[in-house]
Amino acid sequence: MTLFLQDLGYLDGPYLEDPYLLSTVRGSLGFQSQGVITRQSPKGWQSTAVITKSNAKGMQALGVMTKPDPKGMQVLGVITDDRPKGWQSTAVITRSHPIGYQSLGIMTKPHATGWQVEGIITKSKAKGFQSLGVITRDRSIGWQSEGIITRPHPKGFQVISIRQKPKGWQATSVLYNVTQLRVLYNFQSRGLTGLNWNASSTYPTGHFGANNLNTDIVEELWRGASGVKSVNLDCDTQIPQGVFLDTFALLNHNLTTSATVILLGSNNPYHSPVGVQIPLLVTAENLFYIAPELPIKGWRYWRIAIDDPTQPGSYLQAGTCVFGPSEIFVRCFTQDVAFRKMNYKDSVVTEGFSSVANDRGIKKSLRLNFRNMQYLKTDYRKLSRIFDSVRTIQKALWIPTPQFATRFAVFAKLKDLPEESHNVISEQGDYISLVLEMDESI
Amino acid sequence: MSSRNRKPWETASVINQSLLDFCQDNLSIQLDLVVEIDAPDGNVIYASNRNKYKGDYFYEARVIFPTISRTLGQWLSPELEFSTLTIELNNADGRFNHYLPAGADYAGWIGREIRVSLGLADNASSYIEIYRGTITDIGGFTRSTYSITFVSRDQFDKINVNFPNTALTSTVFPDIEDSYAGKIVPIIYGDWTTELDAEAVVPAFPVNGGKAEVQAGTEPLWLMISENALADFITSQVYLYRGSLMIQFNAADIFDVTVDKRMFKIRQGLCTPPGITEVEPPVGGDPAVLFKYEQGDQIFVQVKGKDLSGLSDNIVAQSRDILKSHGGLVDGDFHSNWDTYQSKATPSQSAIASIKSRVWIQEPKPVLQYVLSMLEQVRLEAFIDRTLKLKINSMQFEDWQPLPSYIVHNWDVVRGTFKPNLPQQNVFNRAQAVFSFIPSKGEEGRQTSLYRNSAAILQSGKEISKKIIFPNLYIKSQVVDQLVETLRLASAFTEFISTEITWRGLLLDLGDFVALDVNIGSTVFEKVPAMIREIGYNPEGLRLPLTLWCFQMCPFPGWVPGYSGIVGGYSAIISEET
Repeated sequence: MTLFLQDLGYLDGPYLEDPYLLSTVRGSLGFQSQGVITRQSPKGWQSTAVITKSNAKGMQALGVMTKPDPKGMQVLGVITDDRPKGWQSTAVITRSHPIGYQSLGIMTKPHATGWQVEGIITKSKAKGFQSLGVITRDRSIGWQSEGIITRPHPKGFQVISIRQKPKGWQATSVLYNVTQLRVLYNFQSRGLTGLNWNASSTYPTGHFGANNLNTDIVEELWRGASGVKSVNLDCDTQIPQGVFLDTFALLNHNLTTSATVILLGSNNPYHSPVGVQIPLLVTAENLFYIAPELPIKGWRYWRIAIDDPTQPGSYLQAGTCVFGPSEIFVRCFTQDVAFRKMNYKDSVVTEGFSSVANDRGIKKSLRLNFRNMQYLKTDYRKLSRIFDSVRTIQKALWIPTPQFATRFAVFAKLKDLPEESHNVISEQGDYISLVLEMDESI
Repeated sequence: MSSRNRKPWETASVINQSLLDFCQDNLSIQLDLVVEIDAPDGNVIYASNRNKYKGDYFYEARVIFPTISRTLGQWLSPELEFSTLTIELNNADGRFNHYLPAGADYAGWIGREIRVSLGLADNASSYIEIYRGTITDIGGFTRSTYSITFVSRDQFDKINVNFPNTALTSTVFPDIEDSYAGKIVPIIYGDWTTELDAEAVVPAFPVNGGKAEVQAGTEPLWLMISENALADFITSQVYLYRGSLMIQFNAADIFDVTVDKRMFKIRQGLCTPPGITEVEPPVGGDPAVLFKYEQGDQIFVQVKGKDLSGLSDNIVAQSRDILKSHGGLVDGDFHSNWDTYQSKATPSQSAIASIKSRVWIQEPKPVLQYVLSMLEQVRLEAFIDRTLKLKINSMQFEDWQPLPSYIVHNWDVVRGTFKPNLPQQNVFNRAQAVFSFIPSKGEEGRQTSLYRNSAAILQSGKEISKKIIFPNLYIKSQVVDQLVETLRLASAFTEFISTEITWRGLLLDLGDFVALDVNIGSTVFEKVPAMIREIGYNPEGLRLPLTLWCFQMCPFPGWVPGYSGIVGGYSAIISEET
């Protein structure tokens, strides 16, 4: 039998451009497809089915695949609900490198309407539709997916859309990664008043208060009391719904690499109970934390619990602390990152064929090249927001490589708002290249 | 020599020469400048040219420091040059708007103190104050759209007020004659009973000469001598100057001398009891004319000025007392070397303890300027040292350092800055002194012979003469000593060298000696002693601009270079012209 499948993907209509997201299969509930398979090695989900019933609801399938390396849809379904509507599937995929639709679904909702998937993709290099979704809505109608794509270079179906009361088929997913540039400039750690830090120990005299952690000047320090090697730094973000912390930095600290630093989040000012507890890896001078997954819970109160018994100095101190949700880029800058340390000094040349210097310190600078960003697409829009917000007058935390943040991260201002080179083909086909330069010394 | 610790400043707690040498060996240091400005609300503005801590306090990067300079001024030109600091504070973000006019905490800036210090990184104990001043009343505070500018002058500027300034007024003395009303009451130090050109030279001023009874001779004449208390008033040496004659009053007619000896009365011939002083002897059958005050009469007295507890004639003691009494200084403002020079007894030409000085000043002059002129007469200078105390620098040969410990090498000198030049002033080989100011004449009453350095005259081919005034000295031999020593220095070939050195010289001060050991172009100096006349702090690289007085051709005790052509210096032969 020859099957002919129109190669249309999931929807046989313009994807997410119908403002009302009307399904192309009107008035239907659940998933219906009519397709003709023409390929010998079909990929993705393919189905040939003819719905003859006027009030047909959904698709049900019960099948066991016994072929190795099957392609296409494999379903092993066990329908446990009465009157299922839509397509329900319970499947365990045992094949590696499956291609096509895989679903391991557990339907927990009665009277499920439409297609619900609660799936866990355990296979790498899955092609086609992947969904790792948690359906939280009671009466989901249509297909809803709240997914997190953790794979680099995913292919197939990816969706970004948000609808409050979707009908038909809508998809919401957030692109989160720990591999691309991220920029933190909205410092939710600074609260509403800027006077939102408390330390369990503060140096008794001078300008060493805990709120010094809220300044862009990393040289302006919080310092603990002399002899105290274990300190809690408490931050009330003053945001009732909490801060979804995906990026954290503690700059210009004097902690040893054997110090124990734990980041705790809670919605209780006394951190009882603790909502989240994150051990941090301490690196010299600057400490960074990148959340491995998109934080799905926000916390209002954050505590940095520091214990540094081997601290050789008389006190613990740190310059600046920033955390919050950052702008995460989808595509990367080009491979060549220009990074530089500058030694600032006052130097005089003498008559003795030498020069003497008055040292002023070392500051870092960074240059990133961006090529062919598409206008109104994610990355360019994020950059525009950053330019409009911090301009060249405020610092932001730039982390080009979150997986090894300390290598290139800078807490710096933009040297200039960059000149954009536009390659304009059409209104939508506008491709922008630019160079960003950040400098800690300005 | 440096150890393997190549950044000793990171752990040092004080700046000393050893640390500076150590850092120079490693060609690097970390020195920071900070400024503290007293704000109108009692708080302090902490600022620097970088964001940093000094001890417990955070200094924001809001200023660019100018070069801060101090100077000894010109030799034989008694001018104390005050340091002026102009500093601009960044206010682009409006941070200090509350201190500006219409701001919540505005209360004026004049007189607020500014302090600049320099030290190692954030180590507060290492910081040295290099400037302290107050915001001036004229142009001391201005603002722009993004900054506030302060102009301040050295704290010692406040003592440079005029003195004396007490006047005879009709309010205090309602019977004073118009010709004496408004006259400034003099200040008197030293011995005015000896070495006088006349019987008495110190005037006393009538304060009730306008009273009819005094003019009628029936009431005593009341007179004032000085503003300050006097150690002694010789009642037997009071004279009337009338018609070019000096007529001595009978001591019995001098009465009602005040306890402080500033005021006294003269009994006139018609008083009760009558005065007995005869202004004209009896002639023929005519009786003697007894004293009756007439307008135009001048009274002169012999006195000893303010009592300085055994140091009443000491020029250094007198100078210090004038600064304290009229300049507002206190003992803590003086460097300890004032005591040293006050009691200096050898060699004889520089034995300040023996040199007699006296002061009579009526015309108002700036306090500090007058004191400097006094010290100059015994070859001393006063300046504000690095510890912000008033210190004496000696121009006496025997006080100079022939082997200074600080050696300036090529690698201490900033490239392109070493510039020798010849002095334009105070080069002379023949001189005469005019000395002993006489109040009754209003000028110096005595002079010495001309003295000459014949070898210098022969070398230069011409006589270059100068008259030097010593108004406060009155013993001729002592004046001649000072004249000869001054001529020995002035007739020597000396050079001024302007240069910039590295921060290794941070602890040097005015008056210090350095040994020049440089070979720059055609200029070769082999450990030649030189005196620092000017010193500054240039924040760019922490360079120190210097003006050095180089004594390559001017021998002094311990420095006998033996170059040919030396004609001046401490061993130069000075002869009296006859």
